[in-house]
Amino acid sequence: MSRILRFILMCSIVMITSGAQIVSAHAMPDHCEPRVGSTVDKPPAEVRIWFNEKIESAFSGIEVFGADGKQIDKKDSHVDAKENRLLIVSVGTLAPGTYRVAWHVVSVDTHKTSGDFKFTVKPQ
Amino acid sequence: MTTFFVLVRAIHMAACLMVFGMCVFDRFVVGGALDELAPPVQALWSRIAARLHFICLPTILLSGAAWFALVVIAMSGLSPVEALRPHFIGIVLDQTQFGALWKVRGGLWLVALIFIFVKTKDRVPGRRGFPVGWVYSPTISRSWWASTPTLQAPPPGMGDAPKTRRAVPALRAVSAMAFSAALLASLAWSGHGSVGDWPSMHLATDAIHVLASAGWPAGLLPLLIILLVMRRIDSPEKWLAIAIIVRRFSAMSLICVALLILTGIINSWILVGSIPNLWHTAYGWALLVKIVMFVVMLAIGAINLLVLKPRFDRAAITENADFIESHARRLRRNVALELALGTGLMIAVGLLGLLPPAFQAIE
Repeated sequence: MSRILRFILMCSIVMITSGAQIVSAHAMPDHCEPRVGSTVDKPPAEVRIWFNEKIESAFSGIEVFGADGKQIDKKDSHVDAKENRLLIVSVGTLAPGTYRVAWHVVSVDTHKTSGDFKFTVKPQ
Repeated sequence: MTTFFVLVRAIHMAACLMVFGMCVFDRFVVGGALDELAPPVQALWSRIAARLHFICLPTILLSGAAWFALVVIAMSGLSPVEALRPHFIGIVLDQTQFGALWKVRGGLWLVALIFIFVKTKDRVPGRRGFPVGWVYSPTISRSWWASTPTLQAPPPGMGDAPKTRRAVPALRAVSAMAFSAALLASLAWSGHGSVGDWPSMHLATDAIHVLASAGWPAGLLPLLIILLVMRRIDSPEKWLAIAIIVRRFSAMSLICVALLILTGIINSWILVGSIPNLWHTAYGWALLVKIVMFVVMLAIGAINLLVLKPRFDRAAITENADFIESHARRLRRNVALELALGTGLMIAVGLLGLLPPAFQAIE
């Protein structure tokens, strides 16, 4: 019996230590506006990201950065009141150029995720 | 931090399982057999139940607080010293689903604690008290008490004549069971219960899954303790009591295992998505380990049910002491092994709640 117990203990240790290497990836973008890596003709007034899970407003946000690395969003990112998978931030009038969108969310099952993507506004 | 989180989740879930599991064991295994059990066995059970409850209830509180603190740290993304300040604790408590859930669970814990305390007090009046709710069987004489040195003798005047049963008030026992069930079932909202394509069905099956596991395998712990403590009782009549308890536990286990298999298949179908996802994701591997442990536990349980229990029933009647003792030893060993596997299974469950479900990981 002690051999079997030792085997169970080993399995448990392997599982726990393998758990330490895992990065949880729960709430992830389902789709975005503007789309990831896209080039748009008309500058968007807002950046909108739909996630595959419900997210917590208090710990979720979007920041938009210009090519020079300056934050250009209006710092009003919020979860949509009707759809709690949708995260929105206003960006005002964007000049032509490439922008980086950084997002970070906490899903309702408490897991934190983050990521970023770029989009480009075409010169008129 | 993840390792610690896995352990905290596993300890919290195990303690919640045990509190409800003890209520279930009390009502459906020992409680239902009270009329058939001798007073010393009931006295023994009352003490075991009281002690296990008063180990598990504070454990739930402490591990629940640790779980909450770990979530605050994870959500804020700050160091523990910076995160565990009233500001962030307040945000998590008031503005997140997890905070709302933990407030509800705190209330459930408190109410469950009160009802369990009242229920236990009713059965075990003193610190080393004698259960008031005992049933005196006229067929078992005072010699029963004399033959059990580890147990207290009945108070003067209580051992001679049949007594009227003063059972634990049903409402208190049912309330203790209901609130500890709610405390356990609410864990479904803390994990992957609300994700997937059918959140309502998933939450329901998750809740049934944890509730069923309180009967089996959680019920194995009180069973093992009873089997171990019974060794100290030097009376042939104890075998009959053990046979009754094992028979009732087996019946309850069958129902629980059927529910576990059914809800386990539904949950796996929702969270894994396809069979190849089982070996292409960390979640799938952790689930496979859990399934293997579950199958081994089932096999041991089947040996207990199909081989040992019938022999034990026969042996209890024939009163062949050596024969019974050898089977009791095998039974204790098997139950201990099942319990060890159950502990590993709890760690797997603690890990599964932290891993992204297989269907998401593949996306």
